[in-house]
Amino acid sequence: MSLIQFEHVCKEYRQGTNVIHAADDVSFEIEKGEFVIILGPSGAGKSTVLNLLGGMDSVTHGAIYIDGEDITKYNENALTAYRRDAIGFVFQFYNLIPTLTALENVSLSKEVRRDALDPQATLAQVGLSEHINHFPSQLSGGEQQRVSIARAICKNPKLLLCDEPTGALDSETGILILALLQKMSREHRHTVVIVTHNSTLAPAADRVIKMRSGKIMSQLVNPAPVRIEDVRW
Amino acid sequence: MVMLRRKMLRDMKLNSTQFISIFLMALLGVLIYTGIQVNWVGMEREVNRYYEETDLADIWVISRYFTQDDVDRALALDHVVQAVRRLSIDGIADIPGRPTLRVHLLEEDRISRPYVVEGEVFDLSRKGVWLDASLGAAHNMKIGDTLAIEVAGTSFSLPILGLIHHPEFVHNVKDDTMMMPNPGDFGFAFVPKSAVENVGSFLYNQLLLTLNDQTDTDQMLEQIEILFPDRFILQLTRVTHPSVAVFQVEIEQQQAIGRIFPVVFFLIVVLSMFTTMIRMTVNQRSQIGILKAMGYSRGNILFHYISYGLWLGLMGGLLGLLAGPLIIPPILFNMQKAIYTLPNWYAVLSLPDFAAVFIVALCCGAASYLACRRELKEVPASALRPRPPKAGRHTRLEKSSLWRRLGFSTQWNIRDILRNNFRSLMAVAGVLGCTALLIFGLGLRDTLSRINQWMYEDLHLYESKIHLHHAVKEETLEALETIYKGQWILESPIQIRTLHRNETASIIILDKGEKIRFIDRQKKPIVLPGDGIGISYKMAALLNVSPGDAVEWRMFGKRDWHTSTIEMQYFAPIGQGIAMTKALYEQQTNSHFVPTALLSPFAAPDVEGNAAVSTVQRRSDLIQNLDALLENIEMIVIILILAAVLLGSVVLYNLGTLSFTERIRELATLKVLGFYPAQLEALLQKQNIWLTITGILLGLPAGYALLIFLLSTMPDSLDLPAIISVPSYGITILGTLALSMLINKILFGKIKDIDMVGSLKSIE
Repeated sequence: MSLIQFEHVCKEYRQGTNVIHAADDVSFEIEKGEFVIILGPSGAGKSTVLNLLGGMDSVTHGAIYIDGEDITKYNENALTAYRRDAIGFVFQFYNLIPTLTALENVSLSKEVRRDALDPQATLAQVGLSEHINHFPSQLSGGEQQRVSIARAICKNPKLLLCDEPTGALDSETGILILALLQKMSREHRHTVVIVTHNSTLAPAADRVIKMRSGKIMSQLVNPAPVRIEDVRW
Repeated sequence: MVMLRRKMLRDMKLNSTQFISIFLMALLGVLIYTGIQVNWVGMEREVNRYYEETDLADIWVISRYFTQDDVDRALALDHVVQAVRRLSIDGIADIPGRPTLRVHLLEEDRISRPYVVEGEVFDLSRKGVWLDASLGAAHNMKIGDTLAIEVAGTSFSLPILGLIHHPEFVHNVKDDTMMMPNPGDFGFAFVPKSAVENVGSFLYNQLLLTLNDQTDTDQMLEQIEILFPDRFILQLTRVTHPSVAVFQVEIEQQQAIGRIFPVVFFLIVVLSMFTTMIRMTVNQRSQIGILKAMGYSRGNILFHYISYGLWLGLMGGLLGLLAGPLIIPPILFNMQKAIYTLPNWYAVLSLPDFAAVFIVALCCGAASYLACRRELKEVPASALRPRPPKAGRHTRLEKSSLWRRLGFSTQWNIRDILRNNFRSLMAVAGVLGCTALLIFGLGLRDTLSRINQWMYEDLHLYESKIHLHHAVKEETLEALETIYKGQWILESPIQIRTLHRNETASIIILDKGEKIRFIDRQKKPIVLPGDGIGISYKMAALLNVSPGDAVEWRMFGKRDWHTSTIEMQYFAPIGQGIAMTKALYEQQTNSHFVPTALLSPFAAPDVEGNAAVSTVQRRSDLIQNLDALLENIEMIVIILILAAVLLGSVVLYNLGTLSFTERIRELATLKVLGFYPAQLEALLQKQNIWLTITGILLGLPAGYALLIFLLSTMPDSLDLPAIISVPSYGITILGTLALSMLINKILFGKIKDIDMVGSLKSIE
């Protein structure tokens, strides 16, 4: 059985009298350890799918199975526990706590998850062993995003979910970040799902899910993914 | 949650103005509360200990005489534990100044024992006098000195064996028209009866009783009344004994003040905490989102934000708990020592002091909870998106034709106030508190300083009051009148009753003359009628009677009751009771008018050696007595003014910085559009002035109400209408306005430094 199964998932938002179908009958599967990219223009419903997958929002109908368990049936407590133990999030704007240092931001993970990895070691893993006592405002965008990745993987999650992780970075730094994520997936068998509108990344993924207007357009399994560094930008 | 605690501390540092001001308010609230609380609890404990240690009487029965048989009969009553008789009589100490000395001759000392400060233990077998320590100090009398005492037409000299305090003289004054003790002029002495046995025979005029614990005092009074059918008796209990009652009122007054003022600060603390946390959680919306995404539970995050309030309240409260008992009691004790005599003055911590800290912490925590609840309701995904801007609503006002004529700055300010209604309300509340405290403090001063004018300019027009001994012969009176001139009066304590009420009061009976005037509530002169009595407003209220009603009264020392009709009510700031003419008195009581004092137009009549004269009270001394009281009040007024200024500036500054950061984008936009800094300042100052004026308008009646409340806690003998002078109104209104504008000016300094580009760019 697959690690992740989306079955006819719908998400509707009400805006005044309009109903917006942010996810419309979405079904797909992801295997354990895969490096997945969800592609699509802005407004396609990628982030909605990622949020639903991460237990950050509730579906209107449909089912999401993680390791065979339907998380749409979870109550608030169970969802919190699911986010705490199974999910690591990386966001476009890093979302670090500005009043905490790099190390302290990563240590936040250790406070909620007992099986968390050593924060300092995790920071070293993302290549940031030097500025660990700096505050976010003292770090560059790329460095902040690395702290954010360290914070996510420090929890040793089943799933690493990244929402436009390079959206606010220049392309060179972006490549470094994505390469780091791919390395995590390859070396530690982390399942990584990346949402992006940058289609040039597709060759590097094990699986590419294309979305448009809340619907899945295509799903593609790539038998021979290339390294991020070798993708033609 | 170590990381979250670090985050909290750094957030506090980042918003230090707000958090320090909340901390200060919590500190001040608890400081004032516990300061006053430990003060009165200490006073209450000490005075109770003092009463117990000296076995203060429970009932004082006062009459012309008591025999040994009377004592035995009283002792035989159920519930009576001890009964002793004694003589209490006013005499004169033959030392410079000739102060009045209330001399007590004791047969036994099992009840109401003197409390020896220095010298020998009180001993019934010794031949000597135990003298009031305050009077001793004022006249530089020492142990071993010989004191000559003139009393009831005779005199004796005895060595001073001890200097004492006495539980019946905690408020050590001659009568209840005096508020401050004057040890130069009045004191007391205790003498064993055996020491004066060769001087002459005295009648014991007081019977003191102690009761066992579970006694209904009122029932006891009735039984004693029945015990002495043949003579008029005056009974005092621990509720009505002047000194005991006045001290009790003092304690209750502190209790009342100690409850009101902290409430003002507590409210401000809670409101400031709420607004600050609302802003904090709105600004940290995405931080809340990320914490949720990481798997922090709702409870974790909730507790994180509640702990801001809990810690702040706890720290401020604990510091207040520490500082209050250290700072306030020394100030208050210093003032009270001038009025009351207690063996010891100390503060006592009690449970409510700790509860206050707890309550402040809980209230701050609750305010934080209420503030962050809204941000926590949303699902994590939407918490990470910026909050949709508040929809600008059109008010009904904006549809009217008036609106278009208002001009931009007025329109902008009205919208801003309505959109930030909570913040505006807070500003009004802060100004209200500031104004109320100011008007209260200044009004208290105005009211008390008016007493002198009422008493000695409007009502009492004599220069000196010559008190006579009892039963002075007619010829002597005529002789006195030719020397000293003036108006004769008869003053006496009376018992006054209606069907339902019974009060102790005073009567003044006037011979012809115009040394005493009467005024009504509107301070207009009125005349004492010849066909009925006048009654003071407060006494009428206590008895629930009005003109046309009849009251029964009898004089101290007399047995018979008289019924009189009330024809007039008059205003008496000090000393409540009834007044009547000599003619009416003689007609109603069928007795001869025997004056007790002569009101003389001479400032310093020479009465040296005149046997009929007991003491002389000079107008200047009476005025001085009240002035001394007033000096005591100045300190309280200064404290109140400081508290008001602090309250006003902290709240306004706090809200100012808060609204400033919230409006920074709006202001930057206006700046970009080409508004001059002076125009922006005028824009903001306009709103500030509106809110300040609203606060002042609400604060004035609030302060007035506070003043009326405080005056209602005064002892029954005082009837003080709240007076607030025009200068006090002026100082309060202009002072508050100036303070508010000054703070706004300081805050405006920041607007000049707004970086237009930077503040418009940063939206996250």
